[in-house]
Amino acid sequence: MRRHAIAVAIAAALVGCDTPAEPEPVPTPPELRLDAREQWLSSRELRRSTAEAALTNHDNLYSRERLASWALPEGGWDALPVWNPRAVQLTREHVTSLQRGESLRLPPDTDPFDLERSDEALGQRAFLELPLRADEFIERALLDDAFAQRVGLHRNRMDEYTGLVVFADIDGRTRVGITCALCHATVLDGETVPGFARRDLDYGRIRLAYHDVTGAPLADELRVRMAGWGPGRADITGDDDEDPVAIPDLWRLGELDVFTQAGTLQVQPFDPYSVADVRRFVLAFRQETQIIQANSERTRPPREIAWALAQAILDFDPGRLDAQDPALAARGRMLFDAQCDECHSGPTGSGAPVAAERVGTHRALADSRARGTGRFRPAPLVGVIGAAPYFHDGTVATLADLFDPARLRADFTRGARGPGPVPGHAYGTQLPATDRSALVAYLQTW
Amino acid sequence: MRLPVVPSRWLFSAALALALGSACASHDSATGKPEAAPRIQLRASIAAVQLIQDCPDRDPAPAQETAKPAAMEPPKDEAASASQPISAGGTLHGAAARAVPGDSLDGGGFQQPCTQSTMQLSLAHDDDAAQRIEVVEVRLLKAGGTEALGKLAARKPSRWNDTGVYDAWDERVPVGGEIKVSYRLGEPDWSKVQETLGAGNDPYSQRWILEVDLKMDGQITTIRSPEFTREHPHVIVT
Repeated sequence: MRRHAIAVAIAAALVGCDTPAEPEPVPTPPELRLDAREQWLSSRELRRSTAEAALTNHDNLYSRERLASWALPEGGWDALPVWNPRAVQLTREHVTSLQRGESLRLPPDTDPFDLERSDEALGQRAFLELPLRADEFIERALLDDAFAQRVGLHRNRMDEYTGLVVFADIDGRTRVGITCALCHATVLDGETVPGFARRDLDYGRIRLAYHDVTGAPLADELRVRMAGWGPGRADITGDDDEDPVAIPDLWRLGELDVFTQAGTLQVQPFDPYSVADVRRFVLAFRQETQIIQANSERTRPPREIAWALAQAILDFDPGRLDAQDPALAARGRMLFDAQCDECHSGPTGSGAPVAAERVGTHRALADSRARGTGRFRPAPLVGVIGAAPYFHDGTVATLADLFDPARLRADFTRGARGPGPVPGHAYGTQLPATDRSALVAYLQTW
Repeated sequence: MRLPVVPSRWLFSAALALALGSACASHDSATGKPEAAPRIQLRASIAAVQLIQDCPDRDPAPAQETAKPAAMEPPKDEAASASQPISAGGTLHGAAARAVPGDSLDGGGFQQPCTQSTMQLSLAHDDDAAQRIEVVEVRLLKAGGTEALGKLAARKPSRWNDTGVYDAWDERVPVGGEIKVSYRLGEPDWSKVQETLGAGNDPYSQRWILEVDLKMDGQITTIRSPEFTREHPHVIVT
């Protein structure tokens, strides 16, 4: 079973645990999906209502762009042409051709996405193969195999580069494109694992190397910023603020009510729809608008693809692990319930957004013009043992460090971004060492 | 969003009728009002605007054989010497990176990245013959404002086709149905825009709209875009 395999791989890689529990299957109500799907595809008013209810802070850039252009009675993004791309997974063979200085070629029989397929099949393909945009930086990086490997561009056992495609772009050229899976899937033992963040993807280094090799200019300030991202982090917001974030896992989104680390989107039920319906609507809205913006607002995707993609990412699940030390984990659970549950609640361990000043971590993202809300969403804890580095900006290297009071001191040297204190989220640091170990033991079971 | 159409020829006809007096004007037999020639109704809207960079117009270069590519990370001193500033006027320099819209080329000829500003329109009309359309003027306004702060040149019209490509387009709007088209946009005079905005008002933080005058069959139709922001070329949005 795929989830079982993911849990084993995470455990083996990170905690040396080899006793995974069989995960409980997450039921999906197909009747509900079909009904919600039809309504979503047919009703502009529903799509508009979803946006207005879901956007947490209507004044940030993310919200204003969407409210200005999404689901309008006339004009706006609904008036863009619908682009159903032709794409195939990038393979070793393609890259070899590139390295020989040859043109990329798309097989002539490559079809657009089949919109008649089931949501599951269409969504899975879209996650892996729908080009968000062409990426010349990555195309250049692929010319150097060793470099590509170092910066996290990996092939699976099918010899396909997970998250990369060859596609025909809207100006008639054949390009290397990136997909959702570039950041939100990784390769473990030759298998592509959807939902598991690509924590060795060093996109800043890819861009810097491009500029260095081609001589394309880059302002010194940007050079410093990109060099500072490091593996598994990038600044992906539409403003020019410096607010890189750690690439998040996409585990069990179907149980979350708030999306993005700054809580930019929320599942806010409105009549006559259920919470489950609205969650699907919000993610479909998120996916479609993301694809539109990634394609420079020159096209929009077939709505069926964005919907199916949203449904596909709802159910990614790493499975759960048995505790290595059940007694210690049980003690950790008691501590968690007493001290952490106020914020990290519910089936995913996330919860309602918390004021940034209360969290105390670096608050640029919470305050950003692009997506800021003044708050942070409590980090979901599903698969948290495999989610290092921690905090939204990836500044804490391990769970043990997260609870270590030394982290808050000036002489701390184990910060994921270098020596110095890593302030914020002091919860747990006041506990005795044995209790901190118990908390970590419990968190390993999420 | 569409503003009231100002049919200049109708105004001219009305003025002419008034000048000549009722005896000389043609009349609608039922109402007694001057007969206005039936006008072509243009239906136009702006789908999206992206204001990023103005890139040189070049066709994609043909595929070319290239020498074995260099390793990605040159020695530190080489890397330092390759770094060049972007000039104030936005001109991009780079010995190994030529500026071309759409960035990379087939065959490994890598370019200075450049993301072209564009506007996308939706067009249709109710006439029974194809009609030519012309973009007369594109003006930049602050969202919610009425004063144009700058003008942008629209060029290289292209039309979306059924195979999923924007093709070069002769600006003829066919009979029946709606077409989707795109124009490349030049930049307004940002120094003048900044002057009007005043110091301390960053054009990248401002919300903008475009007001576009379209001409078809001698009539001017003015349409407005949704609000948008000016984008920094280097940002990645996901």
